[in-house]
Amino acid sequence: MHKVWISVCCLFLSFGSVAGDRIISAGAGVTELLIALDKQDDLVAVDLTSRYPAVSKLPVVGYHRQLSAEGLLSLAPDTLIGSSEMGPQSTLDLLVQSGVEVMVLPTETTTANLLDTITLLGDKLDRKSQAKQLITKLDRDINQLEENQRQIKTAKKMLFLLLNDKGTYTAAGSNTTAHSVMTLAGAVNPAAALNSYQALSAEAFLAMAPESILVSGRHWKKYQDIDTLIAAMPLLAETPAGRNKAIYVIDGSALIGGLGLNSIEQAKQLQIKLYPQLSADLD
Amino acid sequence: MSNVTKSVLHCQQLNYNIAGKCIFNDLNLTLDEGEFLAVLGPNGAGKSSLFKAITGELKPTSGTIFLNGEMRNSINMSEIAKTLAVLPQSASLSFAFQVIDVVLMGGLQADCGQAKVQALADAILVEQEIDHLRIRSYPTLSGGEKQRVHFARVLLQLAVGNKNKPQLLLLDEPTAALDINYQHQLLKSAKHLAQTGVAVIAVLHDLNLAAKYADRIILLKEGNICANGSAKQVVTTENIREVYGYESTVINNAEFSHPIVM
Amino acid sequence: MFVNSRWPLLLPSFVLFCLASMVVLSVSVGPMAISFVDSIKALLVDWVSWKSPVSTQNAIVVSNIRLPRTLLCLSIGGILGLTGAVMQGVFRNPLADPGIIGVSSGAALGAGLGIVIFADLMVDLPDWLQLSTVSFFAFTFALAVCLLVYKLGTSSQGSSVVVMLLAGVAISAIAGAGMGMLTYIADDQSLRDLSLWQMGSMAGSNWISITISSITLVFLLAVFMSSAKALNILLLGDAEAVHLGIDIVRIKRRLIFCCAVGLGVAVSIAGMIGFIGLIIPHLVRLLVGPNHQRLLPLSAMLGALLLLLADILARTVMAPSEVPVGIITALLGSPFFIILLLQQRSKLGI
Repeated sequence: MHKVWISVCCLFLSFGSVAGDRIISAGAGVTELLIALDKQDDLVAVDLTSRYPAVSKLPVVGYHRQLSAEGLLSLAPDTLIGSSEMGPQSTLDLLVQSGVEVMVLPTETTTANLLDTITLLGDKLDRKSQAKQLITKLDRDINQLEENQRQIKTAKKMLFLLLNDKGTYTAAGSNTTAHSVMTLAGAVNPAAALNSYQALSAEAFLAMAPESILVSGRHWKKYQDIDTLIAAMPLLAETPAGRNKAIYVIDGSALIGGLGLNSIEQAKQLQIKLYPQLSADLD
Repeated sequence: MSNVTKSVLHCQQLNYNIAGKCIFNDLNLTLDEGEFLAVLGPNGAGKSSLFKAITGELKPTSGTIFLNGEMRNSINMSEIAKTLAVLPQSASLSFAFQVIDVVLMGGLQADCGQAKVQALADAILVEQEIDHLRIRSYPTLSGGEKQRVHFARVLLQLAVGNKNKPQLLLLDEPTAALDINYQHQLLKSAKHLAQTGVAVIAVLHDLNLAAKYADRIILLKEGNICANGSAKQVVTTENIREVYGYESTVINNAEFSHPIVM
Repeated sequence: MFVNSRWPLLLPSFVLFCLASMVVLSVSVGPMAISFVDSIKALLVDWVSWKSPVSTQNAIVVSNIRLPRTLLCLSIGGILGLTGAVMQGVFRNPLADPGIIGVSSGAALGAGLGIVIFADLMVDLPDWLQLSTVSFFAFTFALAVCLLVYKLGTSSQGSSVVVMLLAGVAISAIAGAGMGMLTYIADDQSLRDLSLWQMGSMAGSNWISITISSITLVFLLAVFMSSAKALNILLLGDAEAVHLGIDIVRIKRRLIFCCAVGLGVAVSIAGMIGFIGLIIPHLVRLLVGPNHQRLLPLSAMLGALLLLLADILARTVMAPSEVPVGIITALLGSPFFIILLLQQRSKLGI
């Protein structure tokens, strides 16, 4: 309840006022947007999940759901921007009390949300033109992705696997960024009935019969080629994906912090790889 | 047989069965003020069960125990503690209390002030010759020394207790860990206490010690009282043979005040 | 031993002095660069209208952030130290942890349920209670587990600490399985929240939590001090305690339930902060002996002291970020304990 009120208040405050120059970002998605809007010079600190090269030298304020009030205040920020997951509420209240502006953005799980957030940030942070440019590009990309989706006759079954040392088959279900990326790219997720990341039993995995597998780049470093992966997860060999050696790698940072700019970019690249015949329309 | 109301302890028709086995059956026992009773018998005779029934740790299957004329289970716990004190066979205390603190625990139920309790405790420490152990850490003592500390504690409990009614001291094989000097010293103290009116029951293994200090001896065998009387009456070759199955020689010499078993 | 010196109040006075200093330190130290003088001024702004200007932000930091945390550390640390001492007495085991009766695992399970499953459910608690879902669940489960453990360890014959210990182990195992299940079905966000909760934090200080924990501490002190002599005697053994006229069933029940309530309050406000309840009483025992009349108040004071110190470190060591305080208490407590133990071996009979 509180969070809705704060965001509404912030929205009202945003008309006509310009945010100050010292910004703390709490959330990977937020940081990504701020960098894209060319605001990284105004960032004084980021949260633990914001691992981007552009902000690697900035102090870290901890996990965005457990922010330390005094720690934040010691950096003399003017604005704190984060998703609705930001907390705890007592910290946010104290910041508001101390005169810091707290901006709560919706957690992006849909492309529409993402576009709205960019507009909001652009207005608030005096980056209207950059925001506009970004939105135009994104709009075009998203439209193209959706246009291409309509042209796909048979969507390929793609499963995102979370690789770990134990060799269990953990797939991404609905309500994950991986799912959004795959769907945007025009693939169909056989694990869509599941919620979030779930470990599958051997039978369930085989029943899904994925035609291609998607993994995160960070975990892929350990395997480097599909044969090593099959050695660690032998059931793969029984799937169409394993037989056709159809494995794709996605940049891991695109999966944190909800649907973001990099996620869209990764979706584009994935679509090109999955459906090369459509590639002519994408750039 | 003394009047029930006058005796300190009266056990009436006590039965104790457990797991199908009868430990003692229809046992009657009376103890008067100032009487020192020794309970002896071979292992498994029921001595410790009888002892526990009197201390309250064990509930007899049937029968009643009277303390100073009142039924034991009608008296509340703190009142009993002012009349009845128990010296266990062994007490485990692994915390580093000082000896004086352990002794002072006996003064829990005192109605008088703390200063008086402290004074009494000091006197008892001197009397029991453990004053040199006063600030020693309890876990560092030998088995015998620990036993003497607990005896002092029990003495304090009686000293601060209810002097209006006759008191009862229960000793469970108190001499087990002690060397001969302190064995006699402890029993002498108990005897001295008896002479001031405190009734004493001691479970003992040593017939000679019992003969020397007790006013009355009971021999238990398989839950029955085989002999009940003075040392001269009870400590005989026949009784020892019957109860222990041991051929002994009993010396009844006028030089000694009590029979000696060999 | 400090106790037998000519000044029996020497150690408690010294500890009180350290505590007071630590309170002042806690209020004047933090990631925010406020000078010592300014901190004190900011503190007094609320109580005395100080004429010299103090920036609003400084005032807020000192009065609304540091001061509540400091006060909460005092009460929670006190509760943890105190319940640890009592638990070790009731179970006659100097290495008993207050969570031994399953309270900690119950609280963890409750918090886990609150975080993973019920977080989105708007639990309709009255406003003045201001308890979050997590706190509510943590507290109720802590008490429920304690009740279960006690019932298992008690029959018409009386209670057995051994059976209660074993019951605590068994219930903890079940709670652990429950936690495992929750961890398994939790999403990333909840997982992170849960693991942070399990490491403890004093950041949730508000005047409600301070009031509740302070009242609990005072209540516990009153109950426990009145049983201090009985606690001493309980150490002799159940039989001996009965012979000295103590109703062991009633007193153990009272002590265990009070500990459960205290721990439930502490855990539901601050998460799991370990080591204080285990180490502080043992440390105090090594310094002043096992007499509960001295052990209990000193355990409360030293518990508060350790938690204050840990909290100061927690919020300054990795500023602007915060280290969970449970990690610091473990790092601080254990080595010191080992050193003290080595020095005092002779007193323990080895």
